[in-house]
Amino acid sequence: MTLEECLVEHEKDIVSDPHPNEDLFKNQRHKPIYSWTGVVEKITQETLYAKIFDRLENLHSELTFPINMIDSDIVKMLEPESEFYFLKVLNLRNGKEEVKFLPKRRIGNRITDIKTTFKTLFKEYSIQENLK
Amino acid sequence: MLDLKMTPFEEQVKFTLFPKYSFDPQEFNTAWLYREEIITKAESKNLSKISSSQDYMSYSSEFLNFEITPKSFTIQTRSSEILAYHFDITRSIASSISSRIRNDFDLRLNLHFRLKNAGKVKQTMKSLIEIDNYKGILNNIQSTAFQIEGKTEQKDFNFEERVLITPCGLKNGEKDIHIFLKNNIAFKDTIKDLNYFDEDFLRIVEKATKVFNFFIEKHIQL
Repeated sequence: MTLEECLVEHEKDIVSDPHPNEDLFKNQRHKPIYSWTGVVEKITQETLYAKIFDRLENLHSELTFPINMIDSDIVKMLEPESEFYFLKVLNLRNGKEEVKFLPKRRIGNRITDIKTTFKTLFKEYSIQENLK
Repeated sequence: MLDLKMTPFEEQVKFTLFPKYSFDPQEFNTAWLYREEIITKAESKNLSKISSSQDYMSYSSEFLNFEITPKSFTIQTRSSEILAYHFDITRSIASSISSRIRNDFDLRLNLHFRLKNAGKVKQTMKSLIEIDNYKGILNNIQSTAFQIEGKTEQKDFNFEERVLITPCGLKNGEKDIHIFLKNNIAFKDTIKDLNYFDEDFLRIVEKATKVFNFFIEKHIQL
């Protein structure tokens, strides 16, 4: 592909970024500003206990979170050893920061494996280290 | 997920899946997304801005926008911070329609940087264009752009990347510069490999980060 062809292909992006595409996103209520990945250790009626990987601090840490602050549909999907994304987000409507849980998807018969998760997390950690 | 040396004014991250033949956009409505367990009930409550016609379907969740045409299924976000989640959703979609899609997909990262002034934009482009005898340069009255392309063969997939750097073409964008990074990943076997792609995906993200930081440090932050 020549540079001229490439420019034509990207022209849509250049022109549409950011203004016309604003339409596609303007109803979105949140802007993610930071995300962690985590694994559920234990879940009780009141509390979620999990291990999370904090990229900002480059360390693994423990999370204790009140269940009543998580959407009930999401709680149903959280079980020991399940993986999740823990997002810090900016509510674009009121400007306040919130946290949100999003469960990691299970693909077909692939069983979420806690060892794989931490191998992946460790990989992320290594990448951070290598970039320094 | 991108640890950049300079904060972009705006980010656009897109995964695009391609059909073997053609997609019927009407098939991939919001009900399909929930039925295939790609999104949860909680997430489905937040789907909005549905736009539909015979050859087009688009809707947004809290963090993602879905756009389907006969030629492509695109999932995009405005925050690279959720790249892992974004990839997870894309992988679920690919898994659900694996028999009907090609064995390659695109990952595009479009970063938009706002510089101090228009002179800084010109200075950045000049520094790129002065790279000795580089063929990927367009420098005429209409536009200025810099492009670099590369292809590598990995064990399970072929990887093509293209970087395009160009000033913003919008009326009020004279202080702005774009870096477009397009990656195409073509599996040697089937798209099902996407399910086992975690570590390779992290390597691609790491490489993208290095590419962006190279241009930020060498050319943009002059």
